Amino acid sequence: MSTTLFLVMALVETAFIGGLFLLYPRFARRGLLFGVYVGEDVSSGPEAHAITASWYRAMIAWLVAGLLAEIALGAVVEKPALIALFPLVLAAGFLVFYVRAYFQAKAFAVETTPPAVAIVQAGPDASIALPLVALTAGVAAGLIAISYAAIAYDALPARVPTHFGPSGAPDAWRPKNFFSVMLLPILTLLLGIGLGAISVFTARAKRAVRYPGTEISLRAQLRFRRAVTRMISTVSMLVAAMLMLMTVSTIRIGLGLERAIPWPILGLSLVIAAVAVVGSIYIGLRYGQGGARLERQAASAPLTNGLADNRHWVLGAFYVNRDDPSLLVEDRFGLGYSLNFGNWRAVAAFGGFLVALLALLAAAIVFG
Amino acid sequence: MTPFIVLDWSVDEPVYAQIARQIRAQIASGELAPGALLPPVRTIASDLGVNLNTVARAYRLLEAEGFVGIEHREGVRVLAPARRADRGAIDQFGEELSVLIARMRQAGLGPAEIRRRVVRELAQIPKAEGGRRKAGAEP
Repeated sequence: MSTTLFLVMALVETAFIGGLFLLYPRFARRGLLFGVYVGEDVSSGPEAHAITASWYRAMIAWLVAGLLAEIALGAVVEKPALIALFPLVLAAGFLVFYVRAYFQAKAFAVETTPPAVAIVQAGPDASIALPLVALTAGVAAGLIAISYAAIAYDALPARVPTHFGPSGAPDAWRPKNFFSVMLLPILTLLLGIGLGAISVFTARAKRAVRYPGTEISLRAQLRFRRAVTRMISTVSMLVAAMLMLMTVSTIRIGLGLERAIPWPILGLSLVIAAVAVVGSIYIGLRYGQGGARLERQAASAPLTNGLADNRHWVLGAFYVNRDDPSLLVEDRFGLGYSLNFGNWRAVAAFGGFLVALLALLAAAIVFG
Repeated sequence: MTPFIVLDWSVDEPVYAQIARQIRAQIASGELAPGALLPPVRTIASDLGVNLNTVARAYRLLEAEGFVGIEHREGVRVLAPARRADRGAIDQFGEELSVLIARMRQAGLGPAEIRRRVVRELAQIPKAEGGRRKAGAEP
């Protein structure tokens, strides 16, 4: 890949990630301020504006400095390898500014525990039909990939392609063994299960509603959740399809039946990135965090349930409640869902997935 | 109107008792009709952020009081009032009623005030009961 293309991609990436963060205060839930529940009045008051404005100044300065440094490293001193480290440097800055804003907001934290609200009638809930389809498709894609690789294993030559250039043609080969052949198909199954499970659990995540005004905020949250579930399910199915097709294509190249991975398969990764980025921006601007933009009529009523309970949030970002059986809860700062770290099932499932993924990659690097 | 349970953490009343009291009141007012299906224990516990056992205890209490039936396949369903009260129940309620009236008098309520409150409570039944019977007829 040429240095110019690399630089342009790095700049676009920086602008996108930074832009997504800068948009956040526009769709934040009323009552929340940088991971702290400060109450509905304070969150739209002058103190909150001052904290947000200071966060904006720091973020914009950091982003501009980052973009200039990237241009300098890419075009003036030509050190593309350093640009690759930039996302980490940027993320570290974002983290520092978030933590600073969190501690500033903490001075206005609501000390009392807001009430919790449950809906008694078995009523409307986000359907899990699509997430189940995504999970099934992910498992099916993984099994197809593994079966195809297993059937073709004996026929494969002693050296198999393991890395591909931007044109789709292989540019690295390794000796044939279990890991060099099976890494991609097993990864397909693992990600198919992992992403499918996330879509299912997202549809059943803990509900945070307002009281009074519960019905308006419940409807808003349901619409938000359906949109997020649709996006994650779509991404999950596209990733499974892409990895399965890549497995098949890699093996066909190894067998000498094809010369390069066809461009539609490589194009799928761009489609996936576009769905995730455009989808997040659309959901943020259309629905707001947890449906905040749809519940304006009820937004002056206090937020309830775990989202407003400052005792259970570590640094405003990690929900820890041993009593709560929920696996996923709405993010306090951000636009999605995060784990209940007090629930051992949630931690075990997530930790298990992560360990399996890392073990697979490590084994492929060491033995493959 | 969707029926809700609201937990108040600042009062001494235990959480399971708060849940049972509010569901009982909604059944009594007809907001929850006979035959209505209550959400699974996990859903309520997740919404409220409380232990599964706490919600299960509230459901068991309501079952013992005859307000709901817990069926393993179907879940928890609101029961219609019994067609005829049995002897033992009548005696027990007689006792509970005299205790309640004694407590009300002790708290300073006169007989006229107590009567007025009882009449007012009873006046709310026919409307709810009519709705309940009708709703109960449909599965």
